[in-house]
Order: sequence, then structure tokens, then C-alpha cells
Amino acid sequence: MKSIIKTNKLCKSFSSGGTQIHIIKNLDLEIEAGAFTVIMGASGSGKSTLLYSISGMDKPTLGEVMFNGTDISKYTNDQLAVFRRENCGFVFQQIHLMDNMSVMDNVLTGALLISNDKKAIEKKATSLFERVGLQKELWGKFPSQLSGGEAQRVGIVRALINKPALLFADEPTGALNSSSSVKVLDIMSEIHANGQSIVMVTHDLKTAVRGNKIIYLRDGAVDGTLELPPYMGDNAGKRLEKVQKFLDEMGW
Amino acid sequence: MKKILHIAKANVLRSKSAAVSLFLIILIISGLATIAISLFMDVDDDFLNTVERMNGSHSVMIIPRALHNSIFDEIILNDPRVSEFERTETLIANGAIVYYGALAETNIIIANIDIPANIAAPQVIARDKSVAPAYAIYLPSISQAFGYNLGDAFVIHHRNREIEFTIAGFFDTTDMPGVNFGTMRVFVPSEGYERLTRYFGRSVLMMIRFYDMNDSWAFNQVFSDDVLVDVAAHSFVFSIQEFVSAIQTVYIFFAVILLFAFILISISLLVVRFRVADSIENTIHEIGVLKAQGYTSHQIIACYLMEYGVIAMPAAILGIIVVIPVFSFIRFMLFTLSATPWSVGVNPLAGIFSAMAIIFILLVKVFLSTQRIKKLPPITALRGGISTNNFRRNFFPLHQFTGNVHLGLGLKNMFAYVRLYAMIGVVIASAAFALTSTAAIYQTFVADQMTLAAVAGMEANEVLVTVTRHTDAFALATEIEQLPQVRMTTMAEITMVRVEDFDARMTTVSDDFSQFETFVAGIGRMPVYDNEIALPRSLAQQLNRQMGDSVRVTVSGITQEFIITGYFSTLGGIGSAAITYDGIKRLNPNFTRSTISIYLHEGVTVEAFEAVLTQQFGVLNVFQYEENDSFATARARAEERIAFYLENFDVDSVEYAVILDGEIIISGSSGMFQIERIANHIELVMATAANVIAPMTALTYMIFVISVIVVALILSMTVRAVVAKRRRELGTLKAVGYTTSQLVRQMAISFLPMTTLGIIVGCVSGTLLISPMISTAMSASGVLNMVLFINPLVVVALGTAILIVTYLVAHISARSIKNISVYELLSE
Repeated sequence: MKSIIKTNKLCKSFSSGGTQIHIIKNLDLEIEAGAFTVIMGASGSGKSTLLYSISGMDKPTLGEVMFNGTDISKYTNDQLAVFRRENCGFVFQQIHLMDNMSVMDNVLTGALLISNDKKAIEKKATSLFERVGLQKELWGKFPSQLSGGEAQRVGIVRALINKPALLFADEPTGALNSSSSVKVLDIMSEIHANGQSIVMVTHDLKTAVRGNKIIYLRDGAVDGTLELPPYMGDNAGKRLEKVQKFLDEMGW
Repeated sequence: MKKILHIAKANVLRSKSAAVSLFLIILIISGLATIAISLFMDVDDDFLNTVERMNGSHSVMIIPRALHNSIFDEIILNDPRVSEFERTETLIANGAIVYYGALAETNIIIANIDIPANIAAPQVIARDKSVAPAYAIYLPSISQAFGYNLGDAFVIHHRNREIEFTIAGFFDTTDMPGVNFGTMRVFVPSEGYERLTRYFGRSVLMMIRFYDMNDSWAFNQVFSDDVLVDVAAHSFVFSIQEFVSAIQTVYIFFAVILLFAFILISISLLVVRFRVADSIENTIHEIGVLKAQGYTSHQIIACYLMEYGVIAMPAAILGIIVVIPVFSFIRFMLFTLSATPWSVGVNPLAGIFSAMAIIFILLVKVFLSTQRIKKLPPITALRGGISTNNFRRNFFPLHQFTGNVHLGLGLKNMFAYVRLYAMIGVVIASAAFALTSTAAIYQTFVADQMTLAAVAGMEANEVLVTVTRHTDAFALATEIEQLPQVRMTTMAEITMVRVEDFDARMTTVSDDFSQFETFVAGIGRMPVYDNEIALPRSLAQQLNRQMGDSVRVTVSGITQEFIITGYFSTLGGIGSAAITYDGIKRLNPNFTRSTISIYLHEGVTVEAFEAVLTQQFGVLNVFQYEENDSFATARARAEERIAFYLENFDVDSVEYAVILDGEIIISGSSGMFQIERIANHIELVMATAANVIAPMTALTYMIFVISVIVVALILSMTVRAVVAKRRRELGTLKAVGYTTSQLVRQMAISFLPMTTLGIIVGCVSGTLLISPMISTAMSASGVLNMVLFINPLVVVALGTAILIVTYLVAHISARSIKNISVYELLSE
């Protein structure tokens, strides 16, 4: 499969109190187009840092991030903004809906950057809302009037509205109860089944089994990978065992 | 306590830029409040204290030497109210000097500096000893503001003769300090004094000090009526109280400063209130942490009080210290306005009161805002406070909004923080009000002297012509009116009458006040009939009279009743009135018209018109005095004598011949002269305005600069607060692909509607309210219905400038999000 993202000696450091802390160390990684890649690792292993470094949310300290053959690590902030709007969708653990905007407006903020055809965008949003099971009466509500699961589904619609080449999800079920989590994960499996490339960070086993490639990070470097067949729903038990075994090997 | 201080210090350091902004705003409030309260407390007494410090006179009488009687001295010395009395000889020149670039007529009292004086001795502040004593002159220090320097030439224009001096020094005085009070006292050494006795009449200058200076006015009245009697008509009699009323222009200055200080203090307190509430809201998580660690609510509240206390206390104290040098600027402006030295400075009580009041208000606000901490369980605080469901209206739904997405998001943002933006609107409106008002004052006093003339109760015609005694003023006026350069002529005389017990030194007499353009009644009407009088409202109030009431008017012992028909505006206190020609004839049957007021067509210069008059009608004494030219000297003296006879004796015409070295050098009849004197009246009006213009210009600039600084500070603080509040939201927007510049633009756009509204409200209210506000503030000094001139284009330009400044400041402040990565924006 063709790789959509490829990193070359990727490093990311932060300075804290005058000390440089190296989170990602010379990391070489390939993310394939159409794959559902899951990044796992212990706390502090650099999962989220890696996600934000390869998605253009943050600039790497050293190394390259090739997106479809283009190095985005040298992009300016504004170039990265354009890159994100055109190629990426994000689903956050904290959801990050804008409190002072309605559900519909939250979704349209990103879409209107790409196109001024409001009718077409609204139609697309409507279709996505229906696809994730958000009833019409919720579209005009404010985030504070939604449940966590509903809010995260809005987050997914917002992430998909611009048809991103890659969907990045950072612990998308981390703040949800179990039934809401299943619903959100089902949506993600479904959109992946329809061809959407996804990179997801999680430390939850049940979430991880949705992916077809698991990358395990340790101290900012890839410690191991696990390839899985596509998620079908009925093979969840076997996948769980396989993933559990992989993680046990990794010392998780 | 140590822990609380430590936490407070950490909080201050964490939000350094907000702390600095708050520090500066409190500093400015404290400084302005100190200025306003100090002026309010001290300014009334300041001048009188200066008079005492300089041992200035309380009463001044100048009597022609020939009319002086030693009985006058005895009566003064025997009066138990009198504490000091001094009599010296002086010379009086009814001449003109160059004042702010214009020739202004004034009475010049020339005294001998070599004769020691106890009362009102000149306090020389600068001296040039190299100037020859025969030509040396010492001027009141205000002359430096006219543009005079040591060693410069100083010319007294007297009966069209130019007598030149060299400035040898400047002195401070509270006695007859400047042109705009009608009398200026100068000093010359003995050598020069003797030289000048050839040209100017000798008089006796009597200066009196009282145990209680408030006795001076009553003393003068009785002395004039019962002692001087007929001599009073040939004398000058001043009281300190009259002078105090004449320096009332300084109150415009105070009114502007107080108004401006009030506006800025109000908006700054509003911002401080917001800043406190916002800070508590933003640190709610820390409150949870502290509570979880076992801090009591009282300890946490104490942290906040300490945090704001450590900012407010040094800021408020520094504010008092900072205004100490500002007062030298204020004193200079007051000096320029009043021509007398001022000692007003920071009143320690005012400073302490300002600082304490500001700190108290701030801490009370902090205390009240933090009260909810008591009811906040730690876990709720840790979760970011009590979040309530929000069922607000969704303003500008993006799928329905027809404009650009950035405009839509900017507007949505505005409605999301509507209270915050409303506060910005109020701040901008206040700043726009202050700036529009200041611009109106600036334009009125600096750009349009005609308005000032109207406020001051002066008629702003271009030329005044005094006719010679034998000339029919009416006939000459009719002839002059036929000249193509002339738009109109009116007949108006200035004389002195006594209204009840007040001297109205500047009483205007005319047949037809309806022709007047700037000297008009603000309330009621000007007199039409011979038993009518118009007064400044301040004088009517002092007399406890209203329109329709009668007042007793006296001239040289003849008293008649006059009905008050209206009030006109004045700037110089109470000493003026308006009476018809027939009215003055009831008081002085010998009163004659001698002055023609000439209004020129636009584009005609006074100088060019003077040449026309001189050529057509003959003007007495158009002559330059050259001391070494014996022919010129003889001719000048001859013409001076002719003018003196015509002016002072009951003669219609003088036939004359001047013989020098056996040769007739000049001869003829005075009848050939129709005009005795031509005065550039517009220059006089402008010169009168000049001492108001300089301080007002400075004040305007000061207000403009402070307004811009305060607005910039407040805006920057607010924008940063908005950025902090919207941190996560901005991060989300960045994540979905908005660039920094797009977000900054949205932020700046979100400020525009409220800013625009604020500007419109501020500019319109400033335009509409400044005239009545200043009129009310100045009503005590006689100002009536002051209509300040406001050019709409200037208001529009000002509004646009505020809008641009606001947009730029919002833009620059919002750039603070530029260097923060999306990850950081989201993760904090």
C-alpha cells in the first residue's frame, strides 16, 4: 500500500526549566494510505507528541515529515494551517467544540475555509450528521446542551467535513462512557471501511482493536508493530486476544 | 502569611503583562485623581496665597499727580483695616505693545525700579546687566510667553510714536501683570524714567494692603465715592477681588482637566473591575488546587487581596510621585492664562486620599468578587467552576450568514463576549467623548477666535477708528461705509459705569446692538431703549437681580434706574455692561460718540485698509519717532500737543505752527485730521485669545496623548484577556486550518462594531454636550451659552483615527497567539 506519511529521523524536544526533554528520538515511521493506524504506548512514551508532529499541529525539532512525498516539517505556521485544513481532520479526547457556537456552526467553521458554497457544505454536514446518528434537533444546539457522546460525534463530523486525506484521533473515547465509546468507535470503523485513512492514539485496548496496524512506542521510538486484518465487528474477540498478546510482549 | 504572599507573588509573575497594564492604569488613575483633587482643593486659594507670599497689593489707585491730595494718604493710613500703605510716583502710557505678535492696547504703568518698594516689589527672575540703564526696561514675566527675551527690543506705541527699550529683565508679580487685564506695570531704571517723563504724564501710584484682603473692594468703593469723588473719573482704582474675577479663564482649564480626569477615572475603574473578575474566573482551577491542599476560603481571598494590593499600592503611590513634575506644566499653563505665578502642586492630602480611595475601591471589588470562593467546593473548582447550560441565541448562524466567514466568526465572537465588548464600547465612547470635546475646545480657542470673542463678550470687527473731537462720527462712519473694502460700520463706545456697587469698566454703548455679530445676548436681548441694560449673568447673580428687575446705574454722581433685558457672555468676570447711547446720555449728557467699528470684506487686510483711511481722511500723528532727528522730534512733539489739546480740553480745533531754528517746519489746522487713531481690533481680539490658546493647545495635546495611551492599554489588556479566555477555542480553530492572521483579523473585526458604536456615541455626545457642559462649568465666571465650534470633518477624522488605533491595537495585541503552537493552545 502507498504510504501517506513517512517520517525520517523525526525528533521532538521540549525545554523545561532550562533542560531539553527529548520526547521523540530519530523516529522513522510509515503510515499507509487507507490504513487505520493505532499508536499505543505507556504514558510519556510520546504518542500524542508524535500524532501532533506528523499532523502539522506542531513542528518537529529535527527530521522530516513527508506527506504524500512533500516535506511538511519545513512549513511555516500559515502553510501548516493550510495543510491541516486541506488534508487533515482531528478528533480530540477533550472534543474541543467551541462553546459559543451551535453544532452546525462548529462543523461549518472548518468547511467555510475551503469553500464558500454554503448550501453544498450544509448538505454535506447534514449527510454526515445523519451518518453519525445526530438527530436534526441537535444541530442548532450549543455544545453544553449535548452529551459527551453526541459532542464527540459532532467532533467527528467536523473532522470529516473537508474530506481529509487523514483523520487524526487523539484518545477519541478517553472522556466518554462505554456506550458512547462504542458508538464513536463504530463510526470510526465504518468511515475507515469506506476508505478513510485514520491515525489514532489510544491506551485503551478495546479502542486499539479497531485499527489494522498497531505501533507501539517506547521512549519516543517505535518498539514494535502489529498488523491486523480489517475490523469486521464479528472478529473482535480474536483481535482482542491478539492485541493483548502483542502488548504483553511489549511489556505494557 | 508568608505562604499567602508567596502565592500572590507567583500569581502576579504568572500574568506579568496583565499586571503591568493594571499597574499603569492604576498609576494613571491615581495621578489624575491627585491632579483633580489637588486643583479642586487648592486652586481657589492659590492665587491669593501667592499675593500674600509676594506681598502684593490688595488695592491699587493711580491718580494724576496734579489731582493727588495728601489727605488721600492720611485717610488711607488712618483706616484701621489698612495694614500697609505705599505711595510712589509713576508714569502712565495709554499705548500699545506687541503681544503674541499682535499690537494690543493697554495702560502701561511705568515705575522706577531704583526706588525701593515694600508692596508689590518686582521679583526679578532674569536680568541682563549689560543693557544701558537709559533704555533698559523690566517686564512682567508673562512677557516671555509673548516671545520676548532678554536683550530684545521692546516698543511702546504711544500716540503713534514708537518708544524703544531693551529688555533688561523679567519679574514675577501679582500686580498689573499683563495686557489682558488692561493694565501692565513695567519698570525702568532712574535714567530711563527721567527720559520718559517727557512723553508720559506723571501719576501717583498708591498701593494698599489690608489685614483682611476681602476689605479691599468695599474700601475702594467708599474711597472712590466719598474721598476721590470727581478725581475718581481720572483715576484707576483696582481691588484684588476684581483681579481674581478677571483671571477666571483658568477655570476653563480646570473644567477641562476635571472633566477629562473624571472620564478616564471612570473608564479605568470599569476596566479594573473587569480585570479582577476575569482573573478570578481564569484562576478557578488554582482555587480548587489550593482548597484541595487545605487552604481555607479566607486564605485564598487573602491571596487575591494581596495580589492586587501589591500591584495597586506601589502604582497608586507612584501615580502621586509622577504628577509632581506634571504640576510644573500645569503651573506654566495657569501662568500663561493668568499672567501671575502659581504655586499649586500636589496636595499631600489629595494624594493620600486618591491613593487610598483607589486601593480601597480595588480591594473592595476584589473582596466582593472573591466571595463566591467561599461557596465553591474544591472539586467544583478543580473542574473549572460551575458550568451551566447555555441556551443563548445562536447569533449569525454561519450557514445563513451572507458575509465572509471571518466577519461571521468575528461577529459571533462579539456576541459570545458581549459584556466584555460592551465594556470596550463604553471605554471607546468615553475616549471619543473626551477627544471630541477637547477637539472642540481646541478648535474654538485656537482655530476660531471669533467664538472666543463671542464667549469673551467682545465684538469681533476688524478695525476701530477713533475720530477727532471736531469730527462728526456718524458722518464719517457713513463715508467710511461707502468704501469698497467695508462690509459694515457700527457705532460703539467703551466707557465705565457703576452698576449698583460694581464698576463695569467695559461698558459698551451703542445705538443699535442688533447689528453686532459676536457681542450678543445669550439669554434675553440687548438693550433697545434708554432705560434698559444688559449684563453678564454672573453680575446679575451677584446683584441678586433677574431679567426684568431694575438696577441702579451711576456715572459721575448721576444715578438712574435701568431694567435688565438680557445676559451676555463674558470671560473676565463681572465688569461689563451694555447700554444704549440714549441710556448713557441719561447718566452723562456730555457723552459723545467717537468710535467707529468697521467690519471689512473678506480678504481685505487691516494694514491695506489703514493706508486707505490715512490717505482719504487724515490721521493724526502717523509718525515714527526718531530721537536724534530734531525736525522729527519737533514735529512729533507738536502733533502730540495738538492731540493732547483736542483730547483733554474743550476745544474743537487748534491752529498751529511749529518753529524750529527760526523756520516754520509745520503748520496748519487740526481740522484737517478727521481720525485720531486707527486700531487693529481683530489683532486685539486675537491677542486676548492668545494667552488662552497656548495652554489650551498644550492641554489638548496632553489629553490626546493620555487618551491614546489609556485606550491602547485598556484595549491591549482586554484583547489579551479575550485571547486567554478563548485559548482553547483559538487552538481548535487553528487545528481546523485557520491561520494566525485570519484569527487575528477575526479578533480585530469582533472589536469593530462596539468600537464603532462607542465612537459614534462618544463623538455625537461630545459634540452635543460639550458646549452646555463647559458653559455650566464656566457660568460662575460669566460664560453664557458658550457654543464651541466643532468642524464635522474633524469629528469624522477623529472617529476614524480612533477606529484605526483600536483596530491596530487589537491586531497587535492579538498577535500574541502567533507564536503558540496549536498543540500548546489546546493543551493548556
